[in-house]
Amino acid sequence: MEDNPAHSARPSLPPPPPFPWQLWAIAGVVFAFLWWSAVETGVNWEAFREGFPELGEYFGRLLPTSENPWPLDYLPLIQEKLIETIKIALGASIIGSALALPFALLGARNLAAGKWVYNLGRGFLNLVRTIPDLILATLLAAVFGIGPVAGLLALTVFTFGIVAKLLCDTIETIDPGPMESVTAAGGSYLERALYAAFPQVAPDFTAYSLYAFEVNVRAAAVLGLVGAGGIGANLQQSISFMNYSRVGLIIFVTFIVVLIIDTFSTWLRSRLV
Amino acid sequence: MSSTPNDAPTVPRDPMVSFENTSVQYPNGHRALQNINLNFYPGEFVVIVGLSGAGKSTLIRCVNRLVNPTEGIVRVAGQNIIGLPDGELRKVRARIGMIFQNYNLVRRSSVLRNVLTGRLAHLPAWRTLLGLFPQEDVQLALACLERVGIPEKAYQRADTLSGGQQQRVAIARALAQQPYILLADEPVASLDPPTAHQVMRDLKQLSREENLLTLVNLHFVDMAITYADRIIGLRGGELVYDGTTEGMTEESFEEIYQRRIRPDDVLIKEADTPVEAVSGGR
Repeated sequence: MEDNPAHSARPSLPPPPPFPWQLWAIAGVVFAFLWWSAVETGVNWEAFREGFPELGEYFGRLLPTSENPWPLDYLPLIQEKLIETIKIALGASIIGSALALPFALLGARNLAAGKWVYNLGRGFLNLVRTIPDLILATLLAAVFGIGPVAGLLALTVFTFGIVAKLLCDTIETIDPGPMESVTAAGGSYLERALYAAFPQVAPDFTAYSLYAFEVNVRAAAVLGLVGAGGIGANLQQSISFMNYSRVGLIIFVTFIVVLIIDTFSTWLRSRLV
Repeated sequence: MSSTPNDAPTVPRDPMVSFENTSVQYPNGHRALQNINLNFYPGEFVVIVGLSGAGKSTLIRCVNRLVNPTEGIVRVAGQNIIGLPDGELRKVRARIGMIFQNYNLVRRSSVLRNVLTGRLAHLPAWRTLLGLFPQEDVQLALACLERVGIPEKAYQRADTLSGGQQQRVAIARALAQQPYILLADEPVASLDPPTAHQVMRDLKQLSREENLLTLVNLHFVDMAITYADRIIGLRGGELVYDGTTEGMTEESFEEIYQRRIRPDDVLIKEADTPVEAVSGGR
């Protein structure tokens, strides 16, 4: 045993690399941007200090008290609207994912029938995802009328956009070997997609659909704010009537339902792949 | 104990595959094949040797046009396949089985489903797109699995099999195509020596029984000499050797590899090298 192996035993160790100055540069740029956005948006520390105590007071009013209990007789109505919310999310997730699957198989670079098909598909997907779902819901509510149909359509478009995009990216990373063997055996483009690509991404596809469902449940809960169905309509109504105990109850029940669905879906996804 | 004589080069008959002044230049300018002229006959077991980058893979892939020749002609059963439209090309490919170094199975699918992909080009599109394989095709696929000795694995997922078994599934998939030609691109490079010899024996036997023209890329010289009827040597995309295994001397080796034989060019020989392989090869 030597006394100081670090000094004597390893004479040939290369010198440690210098600390990358690029990291400092990146950190500097990030902070500069943060500062700039704070100035541009007029961050007001006074408002923060005054607002925070009020925040606590406001949330306090949402909680039930002995003189102001939660109106439990309101629950059946909430239940009906919650089920509508879940139906919107579920329907949108299923329809959107079903539409996304063939589109992703067509749009992936390693499968696409040609370069222009790929560029067209990718362009369309990017376009779809630039429209915020609440704005889409507002527009659709104006076209299809106030109600769950507008919400369903808006979230279907959202699901389609996100699942198709994620699936496209996943397909582009799959093992090309099986596709080569299907080609070598005389398989067509569609047979490549169906027999070589799809089995490789089937678990991912399911996981993405479930993920879209989780996001959709949360999104569907606020769709009512723009008149597109679900629990959000009741929430907004209660807020505008300043019926805080009702608002508290709605938020609480929605939170529980979202939590249950999220937990279940996450558990399901972890068992895939 | 095969009694089939290796008479392919001597008896005049129509070649199954022929290369006529075939060259391949890749888009980056690399010339992978230069002016190749070759005829291959039904039932021949041909091993192609050469360093990596010599053009072995390119040569094999020209036969089913996974690589497109940039000059010259490739004929399969007399038909010039260069410039064939997609549908016609798929008909040609339907009868050319191919196996790969990495097996190229869909790992998550069942063994049977993998073998059935060999039937895709033989069935109408509506059937394959709906996944409705006729009973006779399923029976054929099962029979192919039986021939490679793993019928009991039919309903297992492909990734539960060992490397040697996966390569057998790939051979069964090629057989399900009822091919005239079998292409094998480094089929044993991912296998341990005993398994590698087993797979080579299987290929050799199938080639004999089905009168299949078999083109195999191999790195190991001893293996090439053990199993081949005919050896093709490539160097830098050019044909530098075409002849029997007896003609393969140390000099012809050095001509192909541009150096002496090294230990890593030789796979340790299996003790029980099969009789038919020896009688067929030497």
